[in-house]
Amino acid sequence: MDTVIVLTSMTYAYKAQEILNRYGIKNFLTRNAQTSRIRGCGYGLIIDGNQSGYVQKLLLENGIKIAGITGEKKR
Amino acid sequence: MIYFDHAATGMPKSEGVVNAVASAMRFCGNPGRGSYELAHAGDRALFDCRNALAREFGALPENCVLTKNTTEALNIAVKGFVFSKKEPVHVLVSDFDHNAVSRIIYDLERSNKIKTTVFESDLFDDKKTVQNFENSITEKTSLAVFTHASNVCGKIFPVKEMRKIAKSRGITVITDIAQTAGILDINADDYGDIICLPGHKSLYGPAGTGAMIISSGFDGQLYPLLHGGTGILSADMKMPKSAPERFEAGSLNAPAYAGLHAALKEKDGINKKLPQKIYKYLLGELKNMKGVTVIGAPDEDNEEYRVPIILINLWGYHSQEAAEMLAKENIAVRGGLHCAYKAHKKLGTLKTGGVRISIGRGNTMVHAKALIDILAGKMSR
Repeated sequence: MDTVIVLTSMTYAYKAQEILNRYGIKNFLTRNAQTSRIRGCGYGLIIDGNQSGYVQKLLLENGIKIAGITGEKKR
Repeated sequence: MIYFDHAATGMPKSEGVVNAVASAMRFCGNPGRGSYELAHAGDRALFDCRNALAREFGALPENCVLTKNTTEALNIAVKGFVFSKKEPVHVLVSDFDHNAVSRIIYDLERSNKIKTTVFESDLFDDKKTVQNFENSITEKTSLAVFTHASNVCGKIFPVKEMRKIAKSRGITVITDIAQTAGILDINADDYGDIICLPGHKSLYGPAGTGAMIISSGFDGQLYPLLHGGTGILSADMKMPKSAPERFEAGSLNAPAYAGLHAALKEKDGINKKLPQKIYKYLLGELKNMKGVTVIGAPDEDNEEYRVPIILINLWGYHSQEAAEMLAKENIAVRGGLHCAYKAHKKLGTLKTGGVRISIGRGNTMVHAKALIDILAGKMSR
C-alpha cells in the first residue's frame, strides 16, 4: 500500500517535494481522489507506505503543514 | 530614447525575462487547477518565483504572496490587518508616503476603521525622524506603515531603526519598499512584519508583478481582501488559513511570475555601482546649472543615503512642460506629482510638481552627458 501525504497548499506540496528529493525519497505529486477527501481539492505526495512515519517526521521538522494521510491501493 | 524613468518601471526588460514570459504563455496552464502537465507547469512557475523571492528577501516561500503590484500588496496588508480587528486601529504614517499608502489610509479613516497620526520625516536628519516616530506612539498604536524610500526625491528613511522601536513596543509594521527592492539588500524581518514590493521596477520583472512578503516572526492575523477559488480546500467556504493561498483568490498570471523568476535569477550579475555613479555626476552638474532648481537633494556627504532619483524644476517651466520638452528630445523623465501628494506638499512643489530623473541599470554616462547637454542648451537661452 502506498501512502498519500496530503498538504495544505500547493506551495507546501512543492516545498515538501523538494525536501523529499533532497533526502532521496521517491515521491510523486498527485491530485487524486484521496487528496480531495480532506476538505476538497488538495495536493498530495504519493510515497512508499513503509516510509510514512519517517516522511511525516521529516516534513514536520521542516515546517511543512500536513492536512492528512491516506492510503492508496496499488493498481 | 534615453530612459530616465526607472522609478516608474525598470526598462529595458532583459531577453531572458521576455523569453521566460513567452515560454510560460506557451507551456503553463492555470496554476493549482489541474493534475495534468500544463497545470503543474503553472504551479511550478509560481513556486519557483516564490522561492526566488524568499531567497532575495530572507523569507519563507509560503510567506511570499504574489500580487500584481506594490499597491495591491499594500491594500492586502493594511486592510487585512485593520479588518481583522474589532476596534478602530491607531496607525502611524509618515508625511512622505505614496498614494498607494495615503489613499488606503484616507479611505479607512473616513470609514472610521482607523485613527491616524502623521509623524514628521526629516530629509537631512534621520535621528529626528526616528525621534518624531517614537514620540507619536501612544498606548493604542498597533500599526505603523513606512515608506522605505521616497519615489519623489530618493530619500531613504531610517526604517530599520523605527522597526526596532516598533517591535519592542508590539506595533505591527508594514513597509512599502517599492523604490528600494532590487537596489538595496533587504532582509524582510529587518524592515517590517510585512514588506510590499513591485516586481517590475528595480527587480526588472514584467509589469503586473509584485509581492507581499510576511516575515517569519509575524503571528498576527490578516483578513483576506479577496475571496474566491484557490484550487485547494474547495469544500470549505472560508478562505484557506495559510498564506499564500489565503490572499491569492482567482487565477494567477503564471507567465508574468515566470518572468519575475527569470529577473531574480539574473539580478546578481548586474552592476549596481553604475547607477550611483551616474546619479552623483548628474546631481553635481544639475546643482551648478543655471536655471535649474534641485529639490530635496542631499549634500555631498549623504549621497549614499539616496536611491538614484533626482527631482528638479526648470525656471519658467511647469514640470509637465519641461518633461514634454525633454520627451521631444528623446529623453524620458516624469513630470507632475508622481502619485505622491504628501511628498510634494512637504517639498513645496505642489503648484508646479517636479521633473523626476530616475536612473537605472540600463543607463550609461553617455546618457547622463546627453541629458546635461540638452538641459544646458535649453537653459542658457
